[in-house]
Amino acid sequence: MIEELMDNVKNGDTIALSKLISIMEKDERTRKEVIKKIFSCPVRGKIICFTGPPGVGKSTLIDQVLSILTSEGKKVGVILVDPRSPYTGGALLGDRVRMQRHATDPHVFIRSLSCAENPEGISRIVKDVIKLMSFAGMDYIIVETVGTGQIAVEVSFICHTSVLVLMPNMGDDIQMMKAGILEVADIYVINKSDIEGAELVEAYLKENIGKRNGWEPPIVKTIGYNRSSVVPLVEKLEEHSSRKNCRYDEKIKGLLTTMFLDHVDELALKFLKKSEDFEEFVKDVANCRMDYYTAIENLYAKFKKEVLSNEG
Amino acid sequence: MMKRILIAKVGLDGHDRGAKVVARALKNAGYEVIYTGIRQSPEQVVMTAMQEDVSLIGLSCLSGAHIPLFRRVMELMDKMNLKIPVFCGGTIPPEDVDILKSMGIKEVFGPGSSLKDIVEKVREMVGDD
Ligand SMILES: Nc1nc2c(ncn2[C@@H]2O[C@H](COP(=O)(O)OP(=O)(O)OP(=O)(O)O)[C@@H](O)[C@H]2O)c(=O)[nH]1
Ligand SMILES: [Mg+2]
Repeated sequence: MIEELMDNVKNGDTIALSKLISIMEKDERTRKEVIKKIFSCPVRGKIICFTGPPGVGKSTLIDQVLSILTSEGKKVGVILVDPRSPYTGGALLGDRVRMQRHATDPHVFIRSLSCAENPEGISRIVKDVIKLMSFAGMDYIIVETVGTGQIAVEVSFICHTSVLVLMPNMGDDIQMMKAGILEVADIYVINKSDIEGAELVEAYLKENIGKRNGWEPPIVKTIGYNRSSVVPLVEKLEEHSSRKNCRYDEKIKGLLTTMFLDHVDELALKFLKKSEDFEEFVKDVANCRMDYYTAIENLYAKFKKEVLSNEG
Repeated sequence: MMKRILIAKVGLDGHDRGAKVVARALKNAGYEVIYTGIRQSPEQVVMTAMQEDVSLIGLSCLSGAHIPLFRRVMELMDKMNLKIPVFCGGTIPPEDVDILKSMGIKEVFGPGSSLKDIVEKVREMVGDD
């Protein structure tokens, strides 16, 4: 059944694409299986992510970018990620509202993802859905994710180009996000530049971002409602995502590093959970029968013997 | 996996308070709700339901044109061979309920329906599996 779905996806069947995304979202094993089968399909799509704080205009901008790209005959897949933590159990996904005029365009496929079920794992699912959309023949794949934290950084590793969207009058907020995506974005957008205060944000950015890997990240001012103001952004996207500029190897290095750390982390946590020795070490350290350095050395030796050497 | 429900507001009127209240109630009941916003054409509704792979579609209409609009939704789904249950709400006069149900719409919630009732019926429509 999966094989047949994959064939249909490759032949441009969007219903199959939609079904396969659901299956991959639900079932990790199938997800890995699918990715292993399609990995050699060249990444022909340009992958772009839009991140930034809530309400800065990411969805509105993507709507304009869609208009511009589809008018050039491009096929675009859009993934709208809402990583806000679910206190109530469910999720309300409304990013589509801003781009519904493209819903009936056969060249556009928009999919909303929540992380209501799997808050930490959402970036894993996103990267696999990106790969699948590329397999489905999209020329561009655009990801929207709110926030500036770990998820945004992880998603940025699989994208050719990361766009950080900001807006006027957010001085303090920018300083708060210093550590995360502010450092890895390739293009900075100050949207809502119809509102006063864009210069302050621009000055802050100029002071704090420098040339990276031979690319000087541009700062583009846009007005979400105004298509012509978004054209320069699309030009910058084209310029950056051309292979030479985007340094895809560097990003994949980041991707593999996180994935490897995740993998080891998972193994280690699983080991700790079921290790009886761990409980013993806890007691020993708590009662000053052993120092914690020795405890960790012993624990690691057991981990190596019981888990790593059996992993094959 | 969490069930996904599309809530769409069709017709030309601009009020979506009711649709949003229902969307939020379903979210709180543990569903993943995809909201389209106002003034959706039947084509937009059906393409969105397809792309989002939802298990249920909720249509809201306050413009009075619900019968032709909802009928078009059902026809398009048929044409695409999409089998997704549909329910609806809005300013729907009691005499239209049978017509809507004969089109294949599973439940009709007229003015004054309680959220509790809607959530309960939604549970039945999406099933548990
Ligand atoms: N004044 C002004 N308002 C804008 C501009 N672009 C978008 N908006 C408005 O800003 C609000 C938020 O826009 P969205 O596109 O939904 O922003 P977002 O970043 O996707 O929001 P989240 O997904 O909720 O984080 C909407 O009311 C837009 O109409 C702009 O350039 N100027
Ligand atoms: Mg948005």
